[in-house]
Amino acid sequence: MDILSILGGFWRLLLDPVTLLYVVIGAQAGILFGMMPGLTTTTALSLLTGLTFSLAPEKAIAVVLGAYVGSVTGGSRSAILINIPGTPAQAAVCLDGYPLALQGKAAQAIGLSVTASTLGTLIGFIALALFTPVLGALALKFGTWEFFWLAVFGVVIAGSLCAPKDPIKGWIAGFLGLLLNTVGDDGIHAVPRFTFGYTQLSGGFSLIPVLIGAYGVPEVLNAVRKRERMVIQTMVDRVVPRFREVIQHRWIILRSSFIGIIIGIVPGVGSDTAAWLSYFTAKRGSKHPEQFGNGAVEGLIAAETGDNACIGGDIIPTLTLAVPGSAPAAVLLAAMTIHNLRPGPMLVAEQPQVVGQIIAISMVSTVAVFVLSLLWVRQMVRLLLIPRDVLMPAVFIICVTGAYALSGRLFDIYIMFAFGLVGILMQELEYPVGPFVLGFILGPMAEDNLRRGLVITAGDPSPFFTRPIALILFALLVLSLIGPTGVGRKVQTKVAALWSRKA
Amino acid sequence: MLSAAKNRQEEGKSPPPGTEPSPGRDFLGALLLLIVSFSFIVASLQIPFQNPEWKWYTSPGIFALTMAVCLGGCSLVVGYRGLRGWVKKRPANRSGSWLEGLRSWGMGRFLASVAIILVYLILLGRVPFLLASVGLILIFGTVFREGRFLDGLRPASIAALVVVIFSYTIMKVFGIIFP
Repeated sequence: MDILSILGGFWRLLLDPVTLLYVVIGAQAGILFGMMPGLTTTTALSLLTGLTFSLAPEKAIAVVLGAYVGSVTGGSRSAILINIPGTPAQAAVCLDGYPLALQGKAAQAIGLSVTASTLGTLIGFIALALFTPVLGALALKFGTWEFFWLAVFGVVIAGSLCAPKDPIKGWIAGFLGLLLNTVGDDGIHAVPRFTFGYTQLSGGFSLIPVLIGAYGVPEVLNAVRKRERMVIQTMVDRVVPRFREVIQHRWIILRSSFIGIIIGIVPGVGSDTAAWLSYFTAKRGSKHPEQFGNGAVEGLIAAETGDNACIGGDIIPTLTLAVPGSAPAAVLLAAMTIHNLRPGPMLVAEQPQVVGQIIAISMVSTVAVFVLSLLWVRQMVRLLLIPRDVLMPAVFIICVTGAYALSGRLFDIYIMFAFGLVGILMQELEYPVGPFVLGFILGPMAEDNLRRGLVITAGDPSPFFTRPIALILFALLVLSLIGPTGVGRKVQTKVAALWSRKA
Repeated sequence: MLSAAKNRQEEGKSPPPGTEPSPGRDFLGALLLLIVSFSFIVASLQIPFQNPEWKWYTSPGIFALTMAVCLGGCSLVVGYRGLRGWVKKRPANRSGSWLEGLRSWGMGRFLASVAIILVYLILLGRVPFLLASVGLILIFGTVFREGRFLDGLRPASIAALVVVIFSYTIMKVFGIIFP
């Protein structure tokens, strides 16, 4: 894959106005989904994946990618105006966006957040264009043993990062996801497992209903449970930001983009982590940290840039390794698989034009989202006035539509609701949902590669520990397991002490 | 040009019964996970390890068994930790505060919404999708309304109409046949 593939992708896209139109439709739908509290990026993408099933692959991917960029950007609207993040990734935006709105600077805050989002997304996609060929070439060296460790490592590291205070809970969530994924017919011998005689379970739990259930349903139930009354009296005027103001914060934008890209590449860790990390890094590096939380423009820009740059980072491992960087990236992976575009090392090697087209669609989506985000601000803000008691059942019906649309089975709706209850239980017991979902997604990859690897060696597990890349991944896995424990902390303290003594 | 935006939370602000980080909750959660793990271990062991079709290493139950053991092991650690902490904090627990915690968490509204959704799910496939969906929105809008009945009915009716138009458009454009 080279620059020509990407340029070719751009050229094809520009010559295809219908696909361009789908990008715009996806972007607008994404902005709407993103700004409505309760509708997450994952729910938006899941719903659109089901709905665009009958479209041609490039058009379906155009809608999904447009919605991906749109929903991450759109979430800042409600965060700034009513102090409720549209998606979890915008929680950090509330800290400074809402105080800015209270100071009469809502328009400035929206304009800056949209600009920071756009720049972050574009930088993320540039990283996608640069690193995808490199990682794709490296991924060609991966065998079945490496893919097994990669899946397990992904789940464990997501567990550690999503539950930093109590990593064991993150790992438990990951193991639960890996375990529940084994329900249904076994992939090699077609033996039914844990189906209790239900034929509907023989195909296992479908990914889309599980994702909508785990992310969308808890949002609905929580919003109804909390009796919230929102009164929005904010009037928004000129939103287009001043060029000088953007240039002033170039280093924050670059630093937050870098953080977002790196966080995005790590499996299972989504844009919310990127936004918080960017925010706290900006606060630490600021000359006026006391202003953070009271309407600091730097904080708003850092959070917005970080969570949007994460999109490009998320897509890199999705395309090259078929390991999604986050839950929305997992839906993108599912959408691509449904349309017979199988992400992984072979996609980059054999169909570089497809990767080029995806990068081109992503870039065009970013521009479309930027324009649309600044166009309809006043009209769309009115949507936030809908009472939540009315909005949430409507959101639930959208979730039902998304779960049902793909396969047309009522059973999938029941599965969605059941996983919604599991999700809410996990939230209340403080188990992160991210590793659970990632375990569910990477389960087949882990199981198939473990068993395939053992079949190849007739039961000899040594290649899992002797092949160079497998060994590195295994070592990283052990380190990420030991790191957060008491032993790991002691070792870290000793190493730090030794280091400082040397210095 | 703006005035203040206001956000208010009246109910459901606090976590559920003892839902601040509590060892009791950790213990209960671990207990649930142990039941799940134990069930999967038992079910995995019922799948033969050796068979004319497969050796132990390709057995359909081997991966699930490994994951269930990992889940059980980690849950044991959390459960033990929770139990130890719970025993230490036990005298501080009061049933009254527990009930108050349930109320302030919004358990009543939560159970009511789950019940309404369950009825909706039962009706799906028996009643036309659009009719059931309209019913769901109207019931939610009026049951959880603030103020007079009509105050809840008006926005709910508008939302129901929007959902009908949205679903109908999806049906026609994407060819989805709803239950």
